[in-house]
Amino acid sequence: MSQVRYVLHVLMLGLLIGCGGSSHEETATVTGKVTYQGKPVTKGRIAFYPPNGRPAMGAIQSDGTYSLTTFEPGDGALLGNHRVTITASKSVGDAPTATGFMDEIMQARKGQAQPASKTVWLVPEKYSNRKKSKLQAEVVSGSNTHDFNLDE
Amino acid sequence: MPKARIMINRKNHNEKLHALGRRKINATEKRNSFSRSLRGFTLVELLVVIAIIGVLVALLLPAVQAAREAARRSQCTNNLKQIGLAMQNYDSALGSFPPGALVEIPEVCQRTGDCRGIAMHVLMMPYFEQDALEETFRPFYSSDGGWIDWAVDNAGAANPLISSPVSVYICPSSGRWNEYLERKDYFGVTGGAFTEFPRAFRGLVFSDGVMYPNSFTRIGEITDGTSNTLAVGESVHGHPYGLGPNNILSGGDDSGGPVPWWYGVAISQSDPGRQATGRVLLSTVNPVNSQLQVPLEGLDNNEVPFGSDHAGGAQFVFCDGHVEFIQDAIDINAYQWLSTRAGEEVVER
Repeated sequence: MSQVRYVLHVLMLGLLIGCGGSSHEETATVTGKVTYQGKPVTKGRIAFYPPNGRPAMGAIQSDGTYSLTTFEPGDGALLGNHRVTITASKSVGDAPTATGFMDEIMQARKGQAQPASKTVWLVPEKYSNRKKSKLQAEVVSGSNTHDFNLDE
Repeated sequence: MPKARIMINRKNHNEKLHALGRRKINATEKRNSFSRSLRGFTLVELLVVIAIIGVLVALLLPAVQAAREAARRSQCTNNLKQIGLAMQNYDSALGSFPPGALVEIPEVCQRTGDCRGIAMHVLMMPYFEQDALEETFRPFYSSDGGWIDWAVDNAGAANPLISSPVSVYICPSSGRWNEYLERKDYFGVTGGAFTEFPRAFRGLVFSDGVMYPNSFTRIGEITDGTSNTLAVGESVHGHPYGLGPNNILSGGDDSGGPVPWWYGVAISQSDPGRQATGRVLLSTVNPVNSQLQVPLEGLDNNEVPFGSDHAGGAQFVFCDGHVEFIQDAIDINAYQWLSTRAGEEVVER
């Protein structure tokens, strides 16, 4: 019987080994919604820049909501006061006419220029620049909700 | 003739003796083994043995995997070191680092489309024993089409240079693009702290780093110090305009694909700020590995981040030739300051 117990102990030991976790700085979940002139922003990305450390980023969904990620998906942002940027733009004008990688090369060989597209900002460009954006958000321990209702 | 017959006879004799002797030994062995062991293993003994073997395997397997990844990572470090040495040798030979791309922009570029030129990855080749490949580009250095013309000329089945692998440009830790051996996993650092151009065409354009089109940066111009300035880093993230079915042109999603080593830049003739440089040069505007979390938006190929499949960061070679692992968790300001050649920042690491 003691042999069986010995076997069980050895097995338990094996299970215990290798269950350590990776450690990052503390983050707190951040979600919210971005609207511009009353309407939800339908695409783009939002970033939270902490005073020190890795910024958090999130994609803006088609209903304007977002959820931030720093290290692991959905883990939010580092604690502290963040500067926020919102980058939402789309290209208008000629869409690329090439239909694949080699096709693009063949077109370029013939002297065709890359299509001249123009950038249209869904949210003004100033919000996309970390040095110009005045948006700020405080992230505290726990879960945070930050909605951004931009007018101009 | 008689000599040969004697030899044959002797051989036959030996064989006969050998066969007889063996038969005898075999018979004795059998008898002995029948008389010896009768008892087997008990169930508990068997379980103990299996458990011990199981524990040993469980302990060893992760260790073996980790050792394999460590070896791959050091191979990757080696590749970057090689690139760093090639840059130093280029500087010794020609008086400056290689330009991020050699492009004849607009005044001289006489084509109707975008100006193309030759990528740094090709310019450096003679400095790590790949002269033969670089020589195939010589006729295209002065042609307006640059690498595009080279690619078309070398796309034939008889001469498939466009799919030839260059092992120095492949990071073995990345399992994402195994079927594309012509890919490159290392990109020049074009800056990332300050852009003078508006966002357009293919995303933000930077030239505050060491590598940008026609940079020819001299060591004296790197006033932040060569040991504080990034030169080339690894990126295994998909390019929206890369190879494969997820290329944005092929109607795929935004996950993109890898870029071949011979791929160069495209610079608009009408507006020098409209540069598509992301397939040769990348910036530090986005944090390391950020594409793993938030996919890149549409056409912004210039803004693909650096990153790797090594856990927790990516490797870079600095301008003095040392290779360093930059962690995901690095402060974004420090990261961007490291990428500038003359930002006059103090970076504490």
